[in-house]
Amino acid sequence: MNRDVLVSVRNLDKNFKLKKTKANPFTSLKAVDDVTFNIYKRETLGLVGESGCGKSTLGRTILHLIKPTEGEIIFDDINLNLISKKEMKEARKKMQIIFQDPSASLNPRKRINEIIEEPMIIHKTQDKKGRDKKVNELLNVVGLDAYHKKRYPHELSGGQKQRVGIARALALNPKFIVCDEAVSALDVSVQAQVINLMKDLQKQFNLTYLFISHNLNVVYQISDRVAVMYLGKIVEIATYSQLYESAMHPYTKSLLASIPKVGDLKKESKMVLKGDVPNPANAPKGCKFHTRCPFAMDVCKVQSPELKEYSKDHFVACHLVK
Amino acid sequence: MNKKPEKNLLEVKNLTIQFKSEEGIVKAINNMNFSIKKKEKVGIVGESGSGKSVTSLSIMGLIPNPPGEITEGEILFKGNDIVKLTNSQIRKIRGNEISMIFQEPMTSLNPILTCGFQIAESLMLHKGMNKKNALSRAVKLLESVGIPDPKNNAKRYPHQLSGGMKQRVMIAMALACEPEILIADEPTTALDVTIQAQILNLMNKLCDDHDTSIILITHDLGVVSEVCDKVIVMYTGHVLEQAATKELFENSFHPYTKGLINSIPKITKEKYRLQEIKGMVPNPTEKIEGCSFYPRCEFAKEICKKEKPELIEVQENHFVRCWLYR
Repeated sequence: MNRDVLVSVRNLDKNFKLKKTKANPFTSLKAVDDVTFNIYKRETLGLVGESGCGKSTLGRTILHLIKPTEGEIIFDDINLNLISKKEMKEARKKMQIIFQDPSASLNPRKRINEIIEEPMIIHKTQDKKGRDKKVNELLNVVGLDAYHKKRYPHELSGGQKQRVGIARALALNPKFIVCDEAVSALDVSVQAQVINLMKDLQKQFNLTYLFISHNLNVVYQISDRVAVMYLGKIVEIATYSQLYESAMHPYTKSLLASIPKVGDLKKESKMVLKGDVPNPANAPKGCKFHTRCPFAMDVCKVQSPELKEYSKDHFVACHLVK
Repeated sequence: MNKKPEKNLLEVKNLTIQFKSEEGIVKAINNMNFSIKKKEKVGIVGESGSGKSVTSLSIMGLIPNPPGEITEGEILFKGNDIVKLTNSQIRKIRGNEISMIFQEPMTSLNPILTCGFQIAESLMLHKGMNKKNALSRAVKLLESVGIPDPKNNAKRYPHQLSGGMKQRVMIAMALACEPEILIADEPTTALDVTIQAQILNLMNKLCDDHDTSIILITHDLGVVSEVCDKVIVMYTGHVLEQAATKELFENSFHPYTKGLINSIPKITKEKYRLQEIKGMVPNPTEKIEGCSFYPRCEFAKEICKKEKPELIEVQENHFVRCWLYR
């Protein structure tokens, strides 16, 4: 594996202020809590977690679509905190995002070719002729016929719309793409097509992905390494084979066990977690997982475990792991 | 009726449902046949637009007419045809003998009524309980679905509960009158995996305890394999394959079923390239002469384009609609 770092996330915090009301006595919500990790060139880092754990916020903060409260992002050797607006616009060309809901992320009043060429107009990378040529190329690359380019988004199926979203993300030849639940809204047969397409494009264009999803199966198949998130904290980072052979954190283990497996008939003794995810505005003290953890000890209630390297490339934040 | 031990509780025969739309008539269900016995758990799987939800609505007598219409066939519940019942007759069955859990607990609970009252409502309507008894029964039901502090939670409104808790309330409501059949339409799709596992376990346990049959509608083959005894695979309103769960996953015949099983990402030791089904689900208004799957099928032959295959029994209790198995 090539080990050049493309994105380095250091001690990232993101707090949201909440309005105090009768129903909500809390004033702030820590969506991302002291997160540190690297994304290497040409790899796919998967990010999994349940709803409300902060995975989308983390993805957007890395792109500086949301300003971090604290901590820094080093993208391609540039500290995004320290650059001017003009330099930021330049940096944006290299980082793109693909959203979950393809119907909501494409402008319904624009034709497909207008949607795909818009980033090139904004960044003035090509003249009209060059843009037309590029749009044709991109449609071809994502597997759409050229006649689609004069259509509107509502005339396409979900899978086709997601291909348009991918084509738009590729329009500026980016290095890094955040895929935020990019295949979650698709039917399984189409989902497989889009996953395979994204893998092929990664090889073809030397892309680096941060692949965010709640679906561990999908993340597992597409990622080189996987980060597991719970209530704003990264609890484990591992390569996919480490994850398969020796997941360490009780939360990762229970996530793996909770997934219904195809053809695996009615097994009883699953490690099913008790209770709900706590309110992120009122997260438990100490290890945030201790309220649901079957192995919680006294120390877990008071002290938050640090993310430590357990073996090469395998980081775990748990008091059980020594 | 003679008392056979393995009597069918529900029998769907030759069911055909169509909807009128601006673009023409859409056949949502074509000649569907299946049956469910007491305690049996049947899964109906398919992608969006395959007609799985329409099937469940028709059993509840909830097909909106117009635009929908059951043009053919019958749905026999304990020997009576639901299709022919009047509104007031079907209301005695709905929520009482057959009840339903919907996908989104947020939108299927009434936001301005307390959870306890919503459960009590069906008890008052179907079981003739007075309000006080019904409410105290509702608290017991909330306890049985694992809601902590049921007495106080019964007084709360849906928005005060989490997604998993709301789905538990839905289950309590659906099981309040101890129905014979529970229809669960994507009951866990909106939930997180760890909560999904809790809800599936709960549903399974409660239905086993009360000998309730389940019709589980889902797009998730993993969920089906954990809950169901029998699986029906649907595509564009046609049943393509039907078999016992184990049989279906180990020995599927139809190219669509095989493709569907292989296109799901699995957690395996080595990574592999996902198998994809080419193309996409056809537009429902599109008229396809032959087998509805042939445009995407890698084994399509001449005959597949011209004639619709029948659903035939290739092995005992294993039905397939495909020209490859003639």
